[in-house]
Amino acid sequence: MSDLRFEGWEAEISPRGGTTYAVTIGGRERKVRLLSWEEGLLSLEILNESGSRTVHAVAEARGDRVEVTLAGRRAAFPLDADAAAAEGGAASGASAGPVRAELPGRVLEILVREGDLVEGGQVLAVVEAMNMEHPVRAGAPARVGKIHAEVGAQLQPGDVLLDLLPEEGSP
Amino acid sequence: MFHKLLIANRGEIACRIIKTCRALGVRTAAVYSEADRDALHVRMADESHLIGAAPPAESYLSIKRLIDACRRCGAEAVHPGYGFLSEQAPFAEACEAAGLVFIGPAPETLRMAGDKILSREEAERAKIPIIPGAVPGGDDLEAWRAEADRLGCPLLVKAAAGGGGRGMRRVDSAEELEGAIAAARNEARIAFGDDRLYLEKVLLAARHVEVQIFGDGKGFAIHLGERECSIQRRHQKVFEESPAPNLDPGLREKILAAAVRLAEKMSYRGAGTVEYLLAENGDFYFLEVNARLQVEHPVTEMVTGLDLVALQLQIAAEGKLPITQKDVRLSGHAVEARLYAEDPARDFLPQTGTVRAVHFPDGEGVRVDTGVSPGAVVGADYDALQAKLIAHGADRNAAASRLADALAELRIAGLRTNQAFLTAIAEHPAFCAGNLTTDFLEIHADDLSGEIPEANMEDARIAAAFALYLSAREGGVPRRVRTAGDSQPDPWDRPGGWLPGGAA
Repeated sequence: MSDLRFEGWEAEISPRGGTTYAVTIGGRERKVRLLSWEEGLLSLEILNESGSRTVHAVAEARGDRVEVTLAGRRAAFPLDADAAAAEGGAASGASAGPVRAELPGRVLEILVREGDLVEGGQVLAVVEAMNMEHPVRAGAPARVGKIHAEVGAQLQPGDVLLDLLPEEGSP
Repeated sequence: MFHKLLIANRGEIACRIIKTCRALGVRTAAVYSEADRDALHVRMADESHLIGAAPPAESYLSIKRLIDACRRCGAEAVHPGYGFLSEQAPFAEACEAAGLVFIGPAPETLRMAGDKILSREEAERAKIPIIPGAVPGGDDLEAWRAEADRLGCPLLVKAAAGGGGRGMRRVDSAEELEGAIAAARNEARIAFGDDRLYLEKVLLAARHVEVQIFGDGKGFAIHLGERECSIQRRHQKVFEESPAPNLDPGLREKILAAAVRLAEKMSYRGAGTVEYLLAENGDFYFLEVNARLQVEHPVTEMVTGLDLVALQLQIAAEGKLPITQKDVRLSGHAVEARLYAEDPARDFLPQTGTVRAVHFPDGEGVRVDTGVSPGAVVGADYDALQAKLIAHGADRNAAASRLADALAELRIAGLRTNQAFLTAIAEHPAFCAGNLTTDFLEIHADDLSGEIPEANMEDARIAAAFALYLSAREGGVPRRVRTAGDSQPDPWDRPGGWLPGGAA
């Protein structure tokens, strides 16, 4: 038997011999046959009163969550233990500090000037990586500090694009 | 026909060119960078040659190394694919100087198509409407202001050497003009080494429709119908189809004829595309000429039954078109979706990773062009495009429905992609109705998260629970269980990717 705790819900999986398992989610038990599991590709047969349905999914544990692709669509299920910490980290880390490149890329546009007051979500710059344009946004209200990179600059991971300073007076 | 062809490219297009060469009995030489030692195109080719380090400038963009590789292997011709050096006149000239056949237009055609100011003039001479604009030239701000006033905002300041949406700035009010010119000039100088600019009016609610042309290089040209490419995100096409849906037959005839006229006037050689913007009121405007094989050429192949790479090779080898206009017959409808390594849930941040497993769809009427196979390493040095899913059907509904099924069947593990975004587009009522404009993705952004619907949530939860359970319990389960439980932090696994406060 195994307890699997996600944020907001739990699952229990118990082997029932062979490839069959009992899966309980939200107090409801289902019999499930594991058809295949290979490098993240998962096929299951979910049995019910009148028959069964086959599910072909991609299911991958990635850090603090499990990401599932089913019928071309996607869902992410945060794990319970890490959920709170991950959320807190995102909120506190996003307001100020150096904005760094995480992929090698070229600066296409810088849309702010030093001293500008920016809102959370505002696009600060546009960077091209892997031939795709990607907007760089402020995570929270902030004031733009020094701008380190110029348009056309080739950034390596870790290079600082610009600094964001905490904006005390913002709501 | 050639005995041996060198493919100066990588990824899906290199693989796709190899397939045609096999059918024609042409031997293929692949080139690869140090990052691509194990790539699919290297394995598929008859022989392969290491040409340098991972950064494109040291490998796929190095004219010298490519010409050296041709000399080493005795190739007679070079196919440049798309991107990289495909539209670079100096590369075409270097090939010719080395006695190699460059599979593409003449160098002077590449120069003309690469210069947006010259292309506009050429289109005008061929009596094709161009987007209202002006070429004030120089630094006389008053001249720019006068032209901007005459045209009216919104406007685009565009680089002559740009194209494909690169090197342009939008101006929404007169006071933005000066800053936009300065920024665009600076950007164009750095990106293209050419800071000439021009002004163009922004067309709202327009459609992007393009015509596939083939020319013999001696003044004779044909078209292979049109493609609708309005579904774009930040100048990258996402969905393409042929024929264009809901297109007035009279307008269609006009854009096809205009494309052939332009190609003949230019004595165009080989495959090319004439791009247009179609305005809401039925007017059409020349946008640019893409002097290469397009990414989206498979939709044309599926409705014409022709192999566009084979046509390119035949024209290059024989100096004439192997078919005439009346040999081109369109049948049914084809739709393509581009699978990019990017994460729509995080502002489309490009994604890197190793493809652990992949299942491509293989249903009736479905074609997959890809350079990806299990174990493929997707790094940040190259294009984010990983695969193209193309579906053909008797009509648009049949093709779109097959594409939606193909997207549902696709499974790829180890690399985040825009699959869910593509699925949401394919299933969107506006797409199904064929209501397409270039702002489609902005208008419908809120509907395109690609989240698993509530009806399938229980199955998704069961799958998530199994992934966690099996990951934690290596061995003792059917088939292989490997690294799914890998709980190392994902280096890109931050809410925005490029985020303030990120550790170095």
